[in-house]
Amino acid sequence: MKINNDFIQLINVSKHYEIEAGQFKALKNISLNIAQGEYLAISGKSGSGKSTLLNILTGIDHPSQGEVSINSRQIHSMDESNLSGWRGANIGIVFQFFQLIPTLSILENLLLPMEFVNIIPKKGRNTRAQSLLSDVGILQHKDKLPAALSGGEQQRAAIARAMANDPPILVADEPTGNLDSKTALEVHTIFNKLVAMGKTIIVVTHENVKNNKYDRVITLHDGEIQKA
Amino acid sequence: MNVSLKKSWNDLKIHPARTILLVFALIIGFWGIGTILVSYSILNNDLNENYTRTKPAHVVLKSDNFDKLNLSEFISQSEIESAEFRDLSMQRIEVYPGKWLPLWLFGVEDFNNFNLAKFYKERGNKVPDSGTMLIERDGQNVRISNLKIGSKPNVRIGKKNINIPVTGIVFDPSQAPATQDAFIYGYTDKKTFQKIVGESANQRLIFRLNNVASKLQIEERTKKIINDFQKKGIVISEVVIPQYQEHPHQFQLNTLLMLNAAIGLLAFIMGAVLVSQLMSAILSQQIRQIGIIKAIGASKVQALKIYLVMVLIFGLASSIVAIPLSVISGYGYAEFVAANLNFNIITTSLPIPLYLLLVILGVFLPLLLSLPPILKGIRVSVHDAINDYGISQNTQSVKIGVLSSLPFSSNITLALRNSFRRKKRLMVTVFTMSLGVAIFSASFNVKRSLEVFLANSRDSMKHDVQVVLKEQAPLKTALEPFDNLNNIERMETWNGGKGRLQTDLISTPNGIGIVALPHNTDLVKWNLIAGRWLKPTVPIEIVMNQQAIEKFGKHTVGEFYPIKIKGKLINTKLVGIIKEFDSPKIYINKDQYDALVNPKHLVNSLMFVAGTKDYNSILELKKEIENAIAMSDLNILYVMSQAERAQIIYDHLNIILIILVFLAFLVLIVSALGMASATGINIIERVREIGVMRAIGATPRIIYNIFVTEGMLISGFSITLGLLMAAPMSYLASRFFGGLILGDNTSLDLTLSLSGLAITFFATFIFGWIASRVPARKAIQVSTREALSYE
Ligand SMILES: Nc1ncnc2c1ncn2[C@@H]1O[C@H](COP(=O)(O)OP(=O)(O)O)[C@@H](O)[C@H]1O
Ligand SMILES: [Mg+2]
Repeated sequence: MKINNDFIQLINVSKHYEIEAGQFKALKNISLNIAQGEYLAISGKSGSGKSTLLNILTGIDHPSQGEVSINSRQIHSMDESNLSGWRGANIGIVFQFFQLIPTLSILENLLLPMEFVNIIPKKGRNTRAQSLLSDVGILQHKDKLPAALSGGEQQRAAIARAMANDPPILVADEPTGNLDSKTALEVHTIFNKLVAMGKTIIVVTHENVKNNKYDRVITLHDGEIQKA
Repeated sequence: MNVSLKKSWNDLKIHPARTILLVFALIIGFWGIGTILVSYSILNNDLNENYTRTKPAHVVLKSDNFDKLNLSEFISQSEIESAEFRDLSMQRIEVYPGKWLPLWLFGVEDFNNFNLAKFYKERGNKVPDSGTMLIERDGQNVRISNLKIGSKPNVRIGKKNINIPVTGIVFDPSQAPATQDAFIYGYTDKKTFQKIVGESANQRLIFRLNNVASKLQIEERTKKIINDFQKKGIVISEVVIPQYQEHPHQFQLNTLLMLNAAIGLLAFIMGAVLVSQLMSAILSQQIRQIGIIKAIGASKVQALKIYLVMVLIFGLASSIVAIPLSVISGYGYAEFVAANLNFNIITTSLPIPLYLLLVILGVFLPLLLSLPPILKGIRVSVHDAINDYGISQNTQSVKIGVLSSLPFSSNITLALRNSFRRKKRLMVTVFTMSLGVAIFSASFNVKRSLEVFLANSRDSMKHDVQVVLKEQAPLKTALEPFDNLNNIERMETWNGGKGRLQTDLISTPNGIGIVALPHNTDLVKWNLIAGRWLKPTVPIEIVMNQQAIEKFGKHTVGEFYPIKIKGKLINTKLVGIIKEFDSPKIYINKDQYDALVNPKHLVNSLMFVAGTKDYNSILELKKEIENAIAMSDLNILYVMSQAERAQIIYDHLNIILIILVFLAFLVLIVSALGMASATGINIIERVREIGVMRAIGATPRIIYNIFVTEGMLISGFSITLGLLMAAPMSYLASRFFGGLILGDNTSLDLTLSLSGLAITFFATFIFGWIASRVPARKAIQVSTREALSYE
């Protein structure tokens, strides 16, 4: 069920870093369309520009050149304060490590973004957080601090938190990079469920991409998309 | 509870050591400042209030013919607020067996009803029985006397001793403290006064004027009053106009308050630096978390709130502890000062604005100070925050090449590099610490300079005991009683009295002490600050002390000034100015003085030089002199040894010195605390690094050494910089104290205190050692696993 093929659009996006040796081109002229409800994998070797691309997509980083639009919104020209509110409501982000606020319980970690963005009604927050935790299978840990959870459990909590405000898009930067293959599989199962619910998911990975049910895989090489 | 608030709270809970450190630092700093504010508020009000509540006299007039004055008519004049005859006679009283002090004996009109110059009953009789007296409470202090209710001390009146029982104790806050000036104040009724003293009563008129606001106004009005009196045939022999609404020892309090304010300000700055340092350390640790918070949708304001709440909790927690502590210790400190200056603390409730100020300081100031680092942290972009090179960027810019090439062990090299890693923090730490060192060291230098000054002024007078007669006497009469003294090498006789410097300012007969002494006396070795000592030339020469210069306005060496002595106007040339701690004085050659106004060569000062000069021999000599006087017909004003004189001067300054060093010590402690927190922060920030070092084989000992070495290095830098800063600070302080003791624009000669230097070195290193040792011990308690998983 592909409703909108130009849901996410990158047009001629480049990212340059000024380094001592001159200019370093982390991304070179990337154009990319992602459809609503698509499950997209970005693969490539370490240093190929995957994180950079993802950060530009979420507005965390700004492109040196080019345009980014999500659901017809021009991301590249929004300022930080507008972005953070918009991002909170529209994109859930899962990082590779260091994600959860170490001084809050798992449940509270989920409540925090709801409080920030304030689109989920107050009364429903607790129930929603618990049901999200139960979706990812760690409801029993809801009152523990993140440090008390294993890596896989923490990552699941992070995914649950990314869904806290029910955003249409979920991005994840090597979410299983730190996990053993069995736990990694569990994470992917969760992603599959979310895609089935109609979420758009973009996952950065440098592992073997054949075993997974991605809708599409693009591979980055030295900042450019490799032709399949 | 709100989850963001919960995060603020949990952040504090989860690092208890850090939270306690910060709260502790806040409490200490805030307590110090609070104490100073509270005591300032109390003292600033109370000495003055004690003084003014007595309704002190504006003017004191003496005359032999006040019988021509109708007192009630005088009082009924609209410009007179109140008036009374309060007689005063200077006698001597035996305070310990064989030890005598001046007695200021007052003859009081009505003990039950004062219109002015009040004093208050403390114990015993309110009205002394006939033939007895009340004494002022400060005179009971064992440091100066063993008098108490029921004592029957000897009082030397003229040529005889009589017993005057003490039947009550009063509190007279308008007088200079007895303990400092070494006087006893006694109070009798008029009849007893007359009977004992043998002088007729009602010769000393005290009064207050309506609608006056300054000493100058009082002086002008007094001029007219004296003129009116003269028309009635009342001749005024002496006029005293005290400083307007100012306690005689107000200068001590002013100095203390100044010191308080100055040191309080410094402590405040240091505390402020400490808070902002700690906050920026905490923030730099939280950078990644800020990134996450923003990534999951927090706006800047929401993120800001989390950290502001955190600081607010710090502020509240420390205020709750520090404000009551401040009130308690502020009162304690005020009580201490009040006891030394003999006044009562009468402030029972502190002004509301003061409490407001304390709350603002305690709660809002930390907020304000934390705002810059918080804003800086919040402003870091999500991208930078997640990669965490937001705040810590640019901190490693110091070239470490030079450092590593120095021939140090790897420990020291590492410590050096670590110290320089956070350049700004290092600078702040070294600066606060060196400020502490500088103040501490400067205090010792000033203390030493004062001691040297006192020793000099003691040595400047080569005599050992001075006997001052109440009335001048022929040389032979004056010397006769002392013919048989043993331990006397030689003696000199001086004269002197009140003279009048003709100034434009006031022509009332406000006297100045004139001392007539042999121009070639070798009993004085004055500290000349301008011109030269007296020569027996014509025209007649005078030398003034700094206090006289200050009191009578600018006088220039080489100029001529008319002086009225015993009714004669003499044109004199000012040839020199000396520096001493004494009342205003003019020195003149005795032969010339005698030729002009003292044809009978009367004397009133006997200067004895002892043969054996140790302390006990001098006290023995003094006792013999006292005995000789007791058996003679001499009418003595006072007998004083140089040792006692120096003691009296010292007592005036002692309280200031004690408090100076004490406050300086506090500053040093605050700066050590700053250093402890800086080291603490370093360690908190480097827990992971400690883990890595442990993992690659560093023993706890090595890690401990690295941190302690770092502390010692910082102490070393601080001492160096602190001593450099101490030089100008000591100079300014000795100018300030010089001005205070010796008059405006006179500086104490700056003397380096070697022991002070040693103490400063020692104290700073000890503090530095403790301040780095405590956190370093914590560092090695962290297990390798904990350290590696530390965020
Ligand atoms: N702030 C930066 N300054 C300079 N170079 C950077 C910066 N951030 C990333 N890079 C470089 O850009 C390239 C792409 O980085 P990244 O997107 O993180 O790669 P990946 O996620 O694919 O491993 C890398 O070579 C990295 O070194
Ligand atoms: Mg990456």
